[in-house]
Amino acid sequence: MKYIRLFIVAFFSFLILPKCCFASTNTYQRTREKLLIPNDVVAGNNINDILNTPAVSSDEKIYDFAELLSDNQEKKLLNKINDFMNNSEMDTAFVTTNDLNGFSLSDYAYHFYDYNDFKDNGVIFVIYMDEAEPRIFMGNGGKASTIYTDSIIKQTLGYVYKNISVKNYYQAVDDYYTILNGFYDRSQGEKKEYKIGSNGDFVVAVPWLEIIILSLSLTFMIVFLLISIMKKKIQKKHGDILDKRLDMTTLIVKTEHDQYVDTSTS
Amino acid sequence: MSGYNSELQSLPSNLDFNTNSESTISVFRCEKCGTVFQNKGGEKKCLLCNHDSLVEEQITVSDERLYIIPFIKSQKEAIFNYKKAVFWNPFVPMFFKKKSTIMNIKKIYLPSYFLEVHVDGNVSFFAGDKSKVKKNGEKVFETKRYDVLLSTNFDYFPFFVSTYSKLPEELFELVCEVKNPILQEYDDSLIKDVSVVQSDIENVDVAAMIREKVNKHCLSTIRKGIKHQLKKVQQNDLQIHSNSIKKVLCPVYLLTISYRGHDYYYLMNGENGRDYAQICFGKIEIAIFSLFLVIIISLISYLIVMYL
Ligand SMILES: [Zn+2]
Repeated sequence: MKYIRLFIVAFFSFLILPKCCFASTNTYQRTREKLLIPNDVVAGNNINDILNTPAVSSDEKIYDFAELLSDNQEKKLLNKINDFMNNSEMDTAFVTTNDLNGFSLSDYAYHFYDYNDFKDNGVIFVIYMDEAEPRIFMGNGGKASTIYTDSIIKQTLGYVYKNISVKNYYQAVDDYYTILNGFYDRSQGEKKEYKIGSNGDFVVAVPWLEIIILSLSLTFMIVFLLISIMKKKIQKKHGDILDKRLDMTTLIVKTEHDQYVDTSTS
Repeated sequence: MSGYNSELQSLPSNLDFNTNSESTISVFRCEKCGTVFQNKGGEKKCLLCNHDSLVEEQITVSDERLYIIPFIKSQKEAIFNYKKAVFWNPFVPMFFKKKSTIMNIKKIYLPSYFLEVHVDGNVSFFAGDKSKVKKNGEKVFETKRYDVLLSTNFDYFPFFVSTYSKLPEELFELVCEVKNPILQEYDDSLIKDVSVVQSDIENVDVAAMIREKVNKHCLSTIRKGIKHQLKKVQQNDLQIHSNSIKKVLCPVYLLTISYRGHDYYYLMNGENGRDYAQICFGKIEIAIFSLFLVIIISLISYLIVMYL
């Protein structure tokens, strides 16, 4: 009888909790009484958002709900993530999911980061396996937002999406953290702006638009100035020739009289 | 001009060069611009407009005492000076810099008068000062009027006046503003290979032109001596005398550049190298220079972004 009960429990566990067994990330149950949110998150009118956001351990860093990575790949990525965190002193979360729990992709990402116990300075990367095609999002907070600007995020996501679109998820995430590290290193003490080259290398971002605007306006000013100077020079040369021929040493102008006549008003 | 008294001008009599003897000379007349010149240089085209429809004819001229300034500067120097004036200016059209254009520089003598002018006499002015005053609580303009009489006396350094009307006057003045030119009595041998442009302004017109110019300049000079705001000539009794007046052939190098319906001139004094180039700015040249500048500035900015 004892064996039969154990068998039944095992059988139902298999049926009911398949997710728990195969999911690579543990989640915890939030309740209204136990929201499982960081201390600085105020629970007000966002309680529903909090309840709908998966509660995870912020130590794991990889939350592969969509099961895109193998255990081995996760292990390797975790090393890479640790390198990134040690190097940049920023926190990070990498999430894959099939379900946004009713949120938009960006809300999902920010709620995931904010309603779990991640540090203020950090980045989150979400791959949402939409039915049509995967969608990705990168969010940032604290000092990460000054380093990973909108332009950098756009470039980064653009670059990694090439691998995501061919289902090469591991490579995409590996590249993602390589790029994050690269941009972080280049933000330290260097004034040059970099962008991602076609091979994932870092090349100096040349602000062509600014350069062209600058050179056009400078050119306009220089040409305008030069022409004005030349025209003025010509005008000056053409002054009354007799001015130059007047012998000032002989010039006498005497006032013979200067008499008041009358006053009129108008 | 208010109060202008032409009877008191003594200049016309000084321009009376009439002599009894006359002679006939052979000249070329340009059918296009009307320039008449003694073609000693063997020119096949007009000295001024480069047109080739020249008609040979005989004219009678009075034998007047004539002076000439010998050429000191060579044609090579004229070409060099012209190039200096236009080559480094990026806005000057390429046409100005073409060899075929430059080769048209001509060595010529221009007819002129060289005169010393003395001015004296009185000018009376209506003068006044305008000010805003309050009268019966209302703001009104009050003008105080004065009667001013100035006497003046001064000389001009000797200057040249061109008697060839087809070349812009100011161009001639700019180039031939010389303090002590070397004047020599005219001698045919001095003009053996140089064409001589014939005067096309009557003596009486030259005198009138000089009078007007000098009179205008005198008035603008002496009215600076009036300490009132408003000044208007009432009576002009200025006398313009010329102590010395000579007919002189001025040595010049002339280049006419006909570009897009306009004639531009380069003139260089053959005695002292004083020159002036009339130029224009070409749209294409401005565009090319601007493009060049844009590229250079962009390149410098790029290098700064990349390596600094
Ligand atoms: Zn002609």
